[in-house]
Amino acid sequence: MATSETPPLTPSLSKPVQTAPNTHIELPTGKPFRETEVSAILRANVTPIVLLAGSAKCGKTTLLASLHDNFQRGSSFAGYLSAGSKTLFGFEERCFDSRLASGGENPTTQRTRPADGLLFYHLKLRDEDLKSPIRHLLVGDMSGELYAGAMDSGTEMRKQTIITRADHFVQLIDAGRLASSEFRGLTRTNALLLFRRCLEEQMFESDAKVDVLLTKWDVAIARCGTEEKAIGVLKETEDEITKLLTSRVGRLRIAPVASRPHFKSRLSPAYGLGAFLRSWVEEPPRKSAPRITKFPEVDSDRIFDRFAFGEFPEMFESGRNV
Amino acid sequence: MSKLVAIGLPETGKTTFLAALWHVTESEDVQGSLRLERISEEAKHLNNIRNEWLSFQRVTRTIPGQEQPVSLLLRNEQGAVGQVAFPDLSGEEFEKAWTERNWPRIYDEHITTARGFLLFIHPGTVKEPTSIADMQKLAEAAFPDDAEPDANSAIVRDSEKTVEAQKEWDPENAPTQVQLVDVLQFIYQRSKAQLPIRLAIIVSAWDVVKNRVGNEYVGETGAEDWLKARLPYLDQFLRANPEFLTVRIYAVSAQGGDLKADREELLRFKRTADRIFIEGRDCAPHDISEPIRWCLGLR
Repeated sequence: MATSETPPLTPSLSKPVQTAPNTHIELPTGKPFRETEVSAILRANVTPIVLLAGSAKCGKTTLLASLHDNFQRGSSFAGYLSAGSKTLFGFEERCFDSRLASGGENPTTQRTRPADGLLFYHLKLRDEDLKSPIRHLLVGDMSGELYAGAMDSGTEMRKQTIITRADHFVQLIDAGRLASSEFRGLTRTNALLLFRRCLEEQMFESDAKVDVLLTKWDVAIARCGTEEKAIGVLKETEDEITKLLTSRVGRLRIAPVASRPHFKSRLSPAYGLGAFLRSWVEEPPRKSAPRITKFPEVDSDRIFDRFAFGEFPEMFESGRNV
Repeated sequence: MSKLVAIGLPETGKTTFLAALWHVTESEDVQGSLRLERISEEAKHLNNIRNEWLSFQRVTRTIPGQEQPVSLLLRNEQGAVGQVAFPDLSGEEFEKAWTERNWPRIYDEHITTARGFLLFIHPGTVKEPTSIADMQKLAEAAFPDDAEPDANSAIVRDSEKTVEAQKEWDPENAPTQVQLVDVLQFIYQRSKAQLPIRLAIIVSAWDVVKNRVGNEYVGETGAEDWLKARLPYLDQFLRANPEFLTVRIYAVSAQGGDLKADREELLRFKRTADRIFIEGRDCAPHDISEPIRWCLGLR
């Protein structure tokens, strides 16, 4: 488990779950799931887990928000239709700072706060031709502070068992900073240190799938002047990561992305993300094969039972797989 | 008896639709439309809104907390066919389902027992997911002389800026399409009806769309194309869930036009119901009961 004690939630997440008065029916909260809550989804569906890790401000939450936002801006994204989500409320909160309604001057993303720890967001996707059934995906957003703790301490790293369980471990590295002589050394060292820790603590099994996303590619190109120069500058870091991991994990991919490129950039929104999203969804989970055992419906007014049936109807025989 | 439930966010045209529907089904002004099986026991509110509608006035918006649930029992040539309920004319409960994550048990009873739904969307009240970057791009296109010539410098400079949002997130401001998808998910979870459920989407105040974009969205697919363009997230959800929902989309203007700008034109119609505009599959002119007929499975 990620932490032995549950950290306090962020202000909005920590608002007490208001128990609806008896005259009302509670509906699912729509908020992101904690690690302890995801088993219900895994139980009912084949659901790959993607774990996003990286230092603070490397673009994890922006990537996550961009996955949701891009479905709102066109007829499909990466060949998928959005078939819904259990965490729409959480997604919207994450997208807010980039929206005009926030009153901000520059698009940012409300970052995952230290206390958030590890939160999971849910996507339901379906191929545009509708020939395949709906697919589920859980994307874990690990706070930068949790990431830093894992780098600093072997004990903390060993607590992050989700790294071993994840179907796709994704480290995001700020390519804009890698392209800066001022920040390159620090950024590269930290990224490599996380991988060394993971290897030393045996967090990666031999079939682990590791993706390295070089984020803020638009900034890297802008710093270097051209894309060719940016590729050249980043090659050294890529080579080091490849050398470190290639023989130790099942698959390693390294690619540039720009979740929300600057409006003056020539890159399209969610640049580079579509191909990754497809592989995360299409490749079968490494471990979490679904168990289809369901609970009989409980005719009870206990708050826990009402919460469980409302939030995870697919766990019950009579519930629909929302 | 099959039941349909009308749903939608606040100010989406439910009350105006109901006023016109009450008139059409009660007056028999439109040939071939569904008819009222019997006049509701309490018809004061219905008569009031119908009178406003007949007098070319803006139909008074239903005030939250002061509304009476309305239900119309309808028939065709063969007899009674079903009822259509408007349990939340103000749209307050629908909106609270998204913002507060609950709804009243009495509303839930309507949802769980409905065979189909009429979902109202008003083109003038749609909240879009407009981003700051969208506005920056528009501003640059509008004032090209003010644009910073060196794009790379601007990108690098802005990448180091941290600008906090000026306002706190309020779920009420979430894009309309996201709110609608989430509430449809609630309906899927709560409904006890046989799947797929029929959903008639009523894009109301269609005259607003015509005034704004001319003939861009015309014909039977006009409202479908509009929905794809303006609410793509909802459109994807509807396309991706055929096992849950069978959908038809209708363009409707229950007032027929702008009550001030188009007044002279509207007054020229021989019968008041002739000003009703409806477009969609199988729609006869002015027959505002067609979405209900389809939702009840009579087509």
